[in-house]
Order: sequence, then structure tokens, then C-alpha cells
Amino acid sequence: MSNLNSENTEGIFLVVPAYNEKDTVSQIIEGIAENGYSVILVNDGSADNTLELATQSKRKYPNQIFVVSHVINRGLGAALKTGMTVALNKGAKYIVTFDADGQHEISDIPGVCKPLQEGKADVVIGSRPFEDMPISKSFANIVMNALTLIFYGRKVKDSQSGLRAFTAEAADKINIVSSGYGVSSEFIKEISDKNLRLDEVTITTIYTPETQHKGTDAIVGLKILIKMVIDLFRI
Amino acid sequence: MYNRVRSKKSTPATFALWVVLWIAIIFFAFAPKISDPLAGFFGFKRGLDLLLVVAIGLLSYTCFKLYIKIDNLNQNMTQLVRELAINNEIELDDENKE
Repeated sequence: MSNLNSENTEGIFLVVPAYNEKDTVSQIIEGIAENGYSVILVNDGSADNTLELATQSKRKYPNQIFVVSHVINRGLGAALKTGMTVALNKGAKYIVTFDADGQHEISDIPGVCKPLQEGKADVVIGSRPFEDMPISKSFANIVMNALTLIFYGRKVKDSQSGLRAFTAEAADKINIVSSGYGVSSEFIKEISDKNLRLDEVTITTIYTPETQHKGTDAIVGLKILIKMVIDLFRI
Repeated sequence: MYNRVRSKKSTPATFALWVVLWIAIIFFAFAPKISDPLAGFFGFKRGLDLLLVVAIGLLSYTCFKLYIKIDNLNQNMTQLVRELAINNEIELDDENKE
């Protein structure tokens, strides 16, 4: 864990979307709050007790943990947009999206925020080194990167990463329509369309059996591809 | 369909359109030869071919329209769920009262 003073964490809001994450949610959001950041936990209609656990965590850090809850599951993209809206309403300077399944390291947060704080970028994507990933995941991610390049004309190292950081101005400009996993590619599209300055920072990825079954695999990839094609025809 | 019009769920115009469509289908089913000149005008040999092409076109259009409609409904629902979530942020005081 990094020791940070309050100057470095001031105005940084982490948006953590959670869908059935009872095993990891408390540890993640309390860990983030312990490091001095503010957290917006978006419970996306979980069927388990994610919401109760998050509320218990809020008791420990009432001024840092904020909990909002979708009454029904609306998908990753919808949850991220809700969280970002809440963060902006609370006067966030920087917004970081962080997965609730325990695949990101809290110690990577200062790294992704740094280019924003230095005014060098509007958006930072934390890219996971592919060699650390299991083969099926890295293949799916390489394909997704290629598709992102073809459809949105932007070459990025890791288009599907869940760890992203935005300045408040950039977050305000970005308009997300996708509700599911297609949101990761849509962020790249929006960054391109709105001419935002993008930086990429290498982050650590923890692949556990829990994080394995989520995220981009071949079927999710195929769904995202279909969505991308349909979006081309959207009026 | 008739019941839908009676209960004002559909307009008489929609009702009339469906009636005309079905009468036309039944008519051409029993007298396919009549549609041949019309088919010839569009470059088809048989009236049935024209009918099939038109049917596929209409079905595709309906599917696309439904897709867009469902997509819009989905987005509206997400917006609704979001507004609910933002306006009902979990407060510890509320919990204690319960």
C-alpha cells in the first residue's frame, strides 16, 4: 500500500461498479477509503448482499464511501455512468473507474492520476501487460484492440481495461450509451470524438479464479463486435 | 385486433391497414395469376415471387424498427434506474430509522 498525503488524494473519486461482488466489495472499497480517496460504489442490482456489505463499509468511512444502488441490473456501462454522474455532482476533480472484483491494485491509482494532475492528459487508461494474462484473455483483448482501431481509429494498448482516470472536464464531455461490456470500447470512441488527450500507464493485473469468469472472453467479444456494427448504423 | 381498436389501444387506421393486408394476402393466395402483370412491371416472372420479396422486405423493416424501439426503451429504463439511484443515495441515518 502506498502512503499518500491528503494533497495527492484530494478531489480523486473512485467509481466502483459492483454486480454480485460480495466476496471482494468490502475489502476493495475500504482499502480505497483507507488510502484517503473518496469512493462511489454503484451496486448494479446485485442479487447477493453486495449492497448490505457496502453499507456496512460506509459506516466505517461515512465521509469517504458513497453508495448508490440500481434497483435492477443495467450493466457495467450504465453503472459506470451513474457513478461518474454522482462523482461530478460531489465536485470530483478526477474520476477513476476501478473494478470491484479485485483485479486492480490500489497502489496503481496514483500512477494513473499523475498525468492528469500534471496536466499532461485528459484521460488515462491503465493498460495491463498482455504477457501476464491467461492466453484466452490476452487473445480476446488483442482482437478487441484491433476492432477498436478499425472502428474508432484509435490505437491503444489495452482497450478493455477497467482502470481508467478522467479529469472532471473530460468525464463531463464523455457520453456513454452502451450499457454492457461494450462500454470499454465506447470510452475510446468518445476520447477520439471529443479530441481528448489520452495517456496510457502500465498497471498490475491480478488474475484470480473470481476475475477469470468475468470480463472480455470470446463470447463477450463477439457481442461487442455486433454492437459496434449496429452502432455504425445508429442515426 | 378488433378488440384492441375497441379498447382504443390501436387506431382505426392501423386496423384498416391490417384488414387490407390480410385481404390482399388471401386474394393473391387464391388468385395468384392476377398479380402476374404487377410482378412483370417490377421484373419478376411470378406474382408469388414479388409477394415473397415484399414480405421479406417488410419483415426486415419491422425487425429493425422493433430493435430500435427496444433499444430506446432499454436506454429510457437505464435513465430511470439511474435517476432513482442518484436521488436515493444510501444514507446511514435512513438505515437507523428503519
